[in-house]
Amino acid sequence: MLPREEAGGIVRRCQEARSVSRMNEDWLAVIVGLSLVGLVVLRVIGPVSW
Amino acid sequence: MSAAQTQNGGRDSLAHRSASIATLLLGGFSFLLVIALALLAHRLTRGSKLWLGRELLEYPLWAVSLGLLCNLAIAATGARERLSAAFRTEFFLKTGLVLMGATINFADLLKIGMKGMVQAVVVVTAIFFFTWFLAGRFKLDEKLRALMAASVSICGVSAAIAAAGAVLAKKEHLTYVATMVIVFALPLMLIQPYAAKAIGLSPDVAGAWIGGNIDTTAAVVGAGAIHSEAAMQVASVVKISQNALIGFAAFFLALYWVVVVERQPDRRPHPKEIWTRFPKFVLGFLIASLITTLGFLSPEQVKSAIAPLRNWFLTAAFVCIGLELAFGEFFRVGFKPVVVYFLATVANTVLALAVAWLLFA
Repeated sequence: MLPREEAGGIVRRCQEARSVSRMNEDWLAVIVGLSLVGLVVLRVIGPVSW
Repeated sequence: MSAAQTQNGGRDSLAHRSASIATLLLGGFSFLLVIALALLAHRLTRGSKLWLGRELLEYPLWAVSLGLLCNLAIAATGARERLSAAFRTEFFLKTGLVLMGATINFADLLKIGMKGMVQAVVVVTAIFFFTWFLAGRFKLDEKLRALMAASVSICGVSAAIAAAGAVLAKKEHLTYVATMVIVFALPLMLIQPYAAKAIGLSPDVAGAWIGGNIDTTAAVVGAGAIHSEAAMQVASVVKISQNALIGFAAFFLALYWVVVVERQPDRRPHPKEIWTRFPKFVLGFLIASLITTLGFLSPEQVKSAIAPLRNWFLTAAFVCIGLELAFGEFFRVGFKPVVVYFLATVANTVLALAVAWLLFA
């Protein structure tokens, strides 16, 4: 059995890791979303076509 | 290095490479599964319109139902954990919301967002303290109280995670609350838009009601989409206004916890916690809205190019809600937290309707 302090630390680290992964998902969503908007803008103004 | 050691090292590296390839293949299969279910949801929505002359179910409902069915099937085969790599509700949802930003004029966004902020401050504060009080009357664990109060009042799972970090909650408390959020959000996603139509609410009031009440953002967007395009936009902006408050809520909750509950004023949280917890996709949402408002895209181009892309990401998010739900956890929660969560949700529904009516009618 782990001491209470150590167990608390592990739980905290797990939560922080989960929260960091969510933050990375936030930035990834911003990059993917704005890239798609950017591609549509490029298609409208000319340089890119599909 | 001996020959045996070299041979062992080679075997380890081969095993490691095989494991990486297996992970990659499972990830690819998981992604294809999400895409296939999203595609099927769209086909069924369109198909029912063609066959019956009207939509049998709106696309968010098809997507969640297909996700749930598939969830049951893969849980029964014991493959759920291994296949979960692409079950990324948050990523699909947030990308869909960034794209949604491009469909909303910045001036409208500010107008709705301001009212949404006022609504969020009133509803979040009242419901947080009501849930806190109620959970206290039911003698729930202090940390579970904090998690439930944050998730019912602010924005579901994200708020529960922020609150769990602030009060150092137990991992199982976080899992219980995350499951309860989804289990309560799904029926509301189905009931609230039809209730709004039945009582004749305008799209603005219906959207503000949905955004102010349903806890998880994906279900808010789904319920808004079931009502109407306009309601979906208002509901999303109102919910995003609530999401933006999460950093402040986590900071003050952590401050309250160390100073009042644990009486350790030397461990005060740093104000930078507010920025750390701030949902960054909100910035993408605002930038996308500015791009359209500055005239880079016309309303027709938004309708023909951005709106379908947004709908694809949102459908993938709805599929993932169904795929990610852990049914087993719900039955481990116990009776009391479910009653507290139910009563808090009823109070939230009534208060959010009253405030939405006052601000948006």
